[in-house]
Amino acid sequence: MPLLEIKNLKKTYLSPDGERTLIVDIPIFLIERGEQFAIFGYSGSGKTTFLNLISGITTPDSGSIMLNGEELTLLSESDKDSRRATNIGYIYQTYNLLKQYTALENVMIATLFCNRFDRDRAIKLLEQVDLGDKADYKPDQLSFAQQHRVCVARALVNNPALVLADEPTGNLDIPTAASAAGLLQNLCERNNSALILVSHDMKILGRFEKRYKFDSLNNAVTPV
Amino acid sequence: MRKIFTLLLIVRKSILNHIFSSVIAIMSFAFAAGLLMSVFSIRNQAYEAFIDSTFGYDAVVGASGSELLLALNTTYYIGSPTGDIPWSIYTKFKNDPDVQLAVPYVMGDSYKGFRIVGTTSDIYKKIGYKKDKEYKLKGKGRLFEPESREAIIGNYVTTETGLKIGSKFHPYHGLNGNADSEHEQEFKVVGIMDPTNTPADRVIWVPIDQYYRLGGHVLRGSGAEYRPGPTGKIPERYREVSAIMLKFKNPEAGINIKKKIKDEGINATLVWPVSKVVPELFGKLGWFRDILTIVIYIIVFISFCSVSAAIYNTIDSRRRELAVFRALGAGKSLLLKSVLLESLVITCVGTLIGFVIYGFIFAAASYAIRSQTGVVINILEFNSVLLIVPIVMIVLSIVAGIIPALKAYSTEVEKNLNPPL
Repeated sequence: MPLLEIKNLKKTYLSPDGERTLIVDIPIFLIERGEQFAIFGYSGSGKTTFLNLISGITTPDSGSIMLNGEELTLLSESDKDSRRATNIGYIYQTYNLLKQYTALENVMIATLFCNRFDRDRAIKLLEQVDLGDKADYKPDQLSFAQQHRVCVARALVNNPALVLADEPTGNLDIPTAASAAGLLQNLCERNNSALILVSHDMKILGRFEKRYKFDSLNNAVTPV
Repeated sequence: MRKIFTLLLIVRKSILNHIFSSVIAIMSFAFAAGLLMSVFSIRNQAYEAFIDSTFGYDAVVGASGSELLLALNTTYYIGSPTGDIPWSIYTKFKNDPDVQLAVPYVMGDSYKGFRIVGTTSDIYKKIGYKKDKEYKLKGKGRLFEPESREAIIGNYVTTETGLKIGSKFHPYHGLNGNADSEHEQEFKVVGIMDPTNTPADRVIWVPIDQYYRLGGHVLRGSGAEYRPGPTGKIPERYREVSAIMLKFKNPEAGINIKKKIKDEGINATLVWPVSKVVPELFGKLGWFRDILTIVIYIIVFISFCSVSAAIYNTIDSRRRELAVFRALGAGKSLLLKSVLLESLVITCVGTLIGFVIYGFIFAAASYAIRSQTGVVINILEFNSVLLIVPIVMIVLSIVAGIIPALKAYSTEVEKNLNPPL
């Protein structure tokens, strides 16, 4: 059974002039356990919406999203929150770290929402991303590359089955971006977490055996 | 437990992140709680202390005029004497078949703000400061000798003036006298009363004849002026008194005495029962009490609004943070609870500080009331308002947090994860 199975997934948005615009129209999409692949496409093509639909942050208009054999679209909002905490790690383009929390607290709070309190696990992950000595630093005391690594640790702290990364290296220079992407791939592999990474960076995309242009997955005609 | 830990972590961070507005909200609640508790406690205790009906005597007779002023002047030693009455009226009541005991009072002089009362030793031997409560003297003190310039002082007098047994002092002329208006005559303290927690603690008692003999005092009991010499008997026809404290032989005697005063045309006022007059005063001042209560409630309402506004404004600035919580898997109800808990924490801390403020206000008021009237109010005495106010504040905190909590509950995740610049 695939880890993630998407069928006939559709999502529309209401535009300011009152028209409904189809953003996502994916007939089929599958990902196996531990599998890693990258998605690329032009801006506004619906990639972030696609990731948000998988994570349950956004609700589809129709279609099916099966994760670990469970139909996410049929879950209540609180159950979706719970599955997201347990099964999915998410790395955002803008990182979305909590500014008033230390690096350790940013990672640890993800475990708290999972009904666990695993400080040791959080420290271990920070050490794995070479931030063990900066656990008490707040995000504004860290460089972009270091903030990215905190996000990686946070995304993996609950041993999720699936990690979603939306342009995670967008704020990094080329060498650092490559290093950051490599770290993410290695840790996902170590945790046996599947990885879907969205990027425009050809060097990053080159690190993935499986790469998909989003247009090839998405039948929606999205205005540029 | 983990949920509580998570909630406390989120609340602590939020309060610290908005420390200025949090402190303002906390202090606002603290002052509201402190004022509420102190005003109601002081009002209730002071009222009960003033209307305590167990005086050591049953009635007071004084010059024609206001019963209230006469009662205040003789039982609480507040205000000026209402006038003097001839000794003959004292003699009449002393010999009245309905009267068990009559004790004369003369007033008009003072020492360092404390009233001097000329009287007889019956005030100690036969009348207590309350029913079944006798005056007692500390240590080696004794009653004054009627023909000696001696004094017995109340416990509060010794504390404030430093007078001790054996100390000597010159009384001041008038109730507001000072060292410039000292009498030549010197009195010696021979006794200090045990604390009674009544206005009697603020009084200096001297023999009535020695009061008459103070320089400058002129007696007009007979209508003509008479200046007593330093020694020798003072004829009764010249004597006068400021008030007569009466103890009756039976409870109905007051009715008879009142009738006699009216039927015989005695030019005097009877205050009986003494305990009824002061509640009338409080009744007259009820409007002031009501206004004060309204003002306090307004302060509470304003503090409630400040807490609600403080938390509501933080929700706006925390939209992204709340969206991140939701994206990480926090449920909507957790966010709602975190905001309500934040409101509760602010209120609880504010209420605790409120108790400190209550203590300061109560101590200040207690000192002022005691120094002005001798009435003692006790901060350690339990008052239900000390339980009701914290409970009310907690309820208000939950109400104050509801609107901000609902706003947090309805945070749109996708929109606020990447808000526009």
